Amino acid sequence: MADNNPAYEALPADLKSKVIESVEHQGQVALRCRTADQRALLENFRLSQGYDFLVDVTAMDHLGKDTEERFEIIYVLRNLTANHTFRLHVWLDESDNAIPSVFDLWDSARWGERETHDMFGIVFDGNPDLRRFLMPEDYPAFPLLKDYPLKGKEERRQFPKVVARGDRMVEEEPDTYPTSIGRQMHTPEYIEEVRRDSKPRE
Amino acid sequence: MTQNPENSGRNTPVPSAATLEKELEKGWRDHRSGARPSSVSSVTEDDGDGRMVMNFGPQHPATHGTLRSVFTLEGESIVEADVEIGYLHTGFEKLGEHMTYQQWVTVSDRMNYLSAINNNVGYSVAVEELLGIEVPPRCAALRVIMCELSRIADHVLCVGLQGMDLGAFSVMLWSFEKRELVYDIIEAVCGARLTTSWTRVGGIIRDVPEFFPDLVYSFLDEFPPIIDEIHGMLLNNKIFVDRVKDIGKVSTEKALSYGLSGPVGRASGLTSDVRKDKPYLGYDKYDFKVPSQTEGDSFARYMQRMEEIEQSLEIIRQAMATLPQGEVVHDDFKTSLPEKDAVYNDMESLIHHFKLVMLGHGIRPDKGQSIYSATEAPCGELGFFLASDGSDTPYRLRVRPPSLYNYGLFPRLAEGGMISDAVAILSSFHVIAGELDR
Amino acid sequence: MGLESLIGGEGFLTTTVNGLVNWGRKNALWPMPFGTACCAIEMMATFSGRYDISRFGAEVVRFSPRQSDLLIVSGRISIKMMPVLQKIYRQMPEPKWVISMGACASCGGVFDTYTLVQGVDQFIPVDVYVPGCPPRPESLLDAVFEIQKLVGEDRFDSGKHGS
Repeated sequence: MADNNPAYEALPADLKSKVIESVEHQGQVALRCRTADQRALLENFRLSQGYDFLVDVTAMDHLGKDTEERFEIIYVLRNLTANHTFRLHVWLDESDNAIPSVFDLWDSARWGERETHDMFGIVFDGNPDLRRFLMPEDYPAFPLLKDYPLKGKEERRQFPKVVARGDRMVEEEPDTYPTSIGRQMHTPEYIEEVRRDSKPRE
Repeated sequence: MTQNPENSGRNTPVPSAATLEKELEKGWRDHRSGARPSSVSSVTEDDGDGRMVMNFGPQHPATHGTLRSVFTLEGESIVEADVEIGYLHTGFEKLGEHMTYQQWVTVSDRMNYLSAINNNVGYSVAVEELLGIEVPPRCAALRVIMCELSRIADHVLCVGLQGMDLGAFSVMLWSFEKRELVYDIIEAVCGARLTTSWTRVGGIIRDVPEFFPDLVYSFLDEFPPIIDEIHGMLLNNKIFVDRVKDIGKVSTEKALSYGLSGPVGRASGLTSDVRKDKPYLGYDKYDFKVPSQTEGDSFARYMQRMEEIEQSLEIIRQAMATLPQGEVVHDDFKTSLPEKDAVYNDMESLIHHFKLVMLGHGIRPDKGQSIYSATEAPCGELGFFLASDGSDTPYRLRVRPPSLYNYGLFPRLAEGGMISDAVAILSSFHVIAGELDR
Repeated sequence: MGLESLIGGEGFLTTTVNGLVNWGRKNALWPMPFGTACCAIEMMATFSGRYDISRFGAEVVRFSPRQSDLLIVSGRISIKMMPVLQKIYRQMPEPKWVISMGACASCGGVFDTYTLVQGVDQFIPVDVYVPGCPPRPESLLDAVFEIQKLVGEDRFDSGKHGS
């Protein structure tokens, strides 16, 4: 497992056993671990091995797929001195939905985690600034979840209408559109419907 | 480094995504009716302790589009800064999960619209790396030339806007004039000025026209004088120099920790450049330097961009001198689109085109394959994380936008300075809202 | 619209004053550039050297909505931005005209996603649409001519902005 990844080779034996899988594709290695071991591994990479550049933090949603957990958090790490890049994938359980933050190891994690929180609703424990990021602060959904449709749930139509009428500006109620806010999510029918919606146009 | 997993116990239970959604629903009604003042207010307020909260943006000429900063002021100095982004959030990543690999090229150039070709190339290189395709040498060289032209156009515009924000308006007019030269080349090559959609996975849309070398060589003759002209206008301008020197200093450690890349990082002493560290498209064949500064202030970022322009010109000269002949599209038409001429005149190509474009017969990387691929865009390291589930659309498409990580440091830099310094810092960071928010 | 709306009627004075006012207005449009994305760059190209919108009297770009009478919405408008756009539109004094520049502002363009408003005309009135993604500077110039035509036809006693 992970024959040619220097980051894995340099791990102490007890941490090596925490890495449950190693995938290589086109010369790039991805290590996999569980939520409980994420912090220890990342501390080792940062403090002992000098992976001083956190390139990116992001997540993947495996809703309805046959995977170990629903979420996968992805850290892209780089050692600038050794010029080596690899990824650490961390499984995250849907019901727990929280993972320790690493903002104290890399400052770039502050915004990377904040964006992942905004898009997936994943809570990074300890991150001091976990507000909404790209979406309005009271947006009713986490858009990159697989059960959220591409076109949203008609949030984009719900604004008042400003109409020019003489000197005065008049606000009108928006046209009524069918809205699906508050619908029961996470049901099989719903997921099926989302899948159907999310196919490209035929 | 105090936190460890054993004792990081949470004091409050973490709400699940479903609960959070429910709570947010009420607030959303306020937002859409405009009743929530914090989202749009531009009024300054004084809450009794002599401090004022000032909104800067999202609609302000010096915010380069749609950035919004909230400054807490004491007099004219900023004691606390916060930024809010997302005013241009477009859903690129979600869209990527619903479009085929070839289709998303069209969307990619709306990200950093100042240098769309770099986005096209960055995305195509990522997919090619995922599939293990090598593009033909002529295609690679043409991509390098166009990338560097775009980089020049981006840097020269950034310098122009930096001048405009600090009161030197003519620099912006002059740089736009020279930018049009690049637009002329881009227009000759792909027909559009700004949103190019020039590359395809496995190649480019079509070979360049015959007069392409003439255009590029005349550009190489006409463009260089502007470097001295801009230097002359800005370096002899005492107001400009005073407003950028020693403003917004970033140390190397900070640049590293905040993940700065590109000219902003290299102005602070970092020497990383994806073109050198992990050469793609044969960048290792060209002899060029990666300039870097040590001061880390706004002035260093200006100088850094101007020096990078010279290196880009050098790369273009070398690439034009050694431009190979041959095909511009990878010859495996199971993955790359055949040229349009062939599609209209050749039955095989028509079938390939049809099968690639119609749903379900396009590029299909194997299930579970994923890749993080990076290229050097004008703003910094533009990375793509692609994960496949075996279907013809990416399962997850993540863009690592350089502007996002560069901008993360801005509120920390603005604190302690004056409002006018914040403008000088922001313009030197060159944050593109489209790429920042995606 | 102030004093002239009190005069009323179709007499010699009002029609002549009307023509004079419109002539002034249409040759001195003060645009408020609400530029967000790609189209904003083409808009800036229109304002700068090669295309030079000042040949048609519309070069006085005002970033304060209270000083301008032509709103150029150029670029994608997200749901986070829409309340801001509406506020800016409300802040502009009458009479005012709106150009919706580019496919994204007019109809959402290629971005049929959860966060993008599918056409600003759903929520604010739009006078002229400019097709293109992004439109070339010539198209924006043409849109300004169209606006000038509209301004020329405007009647303060009974036109679009009449009381």
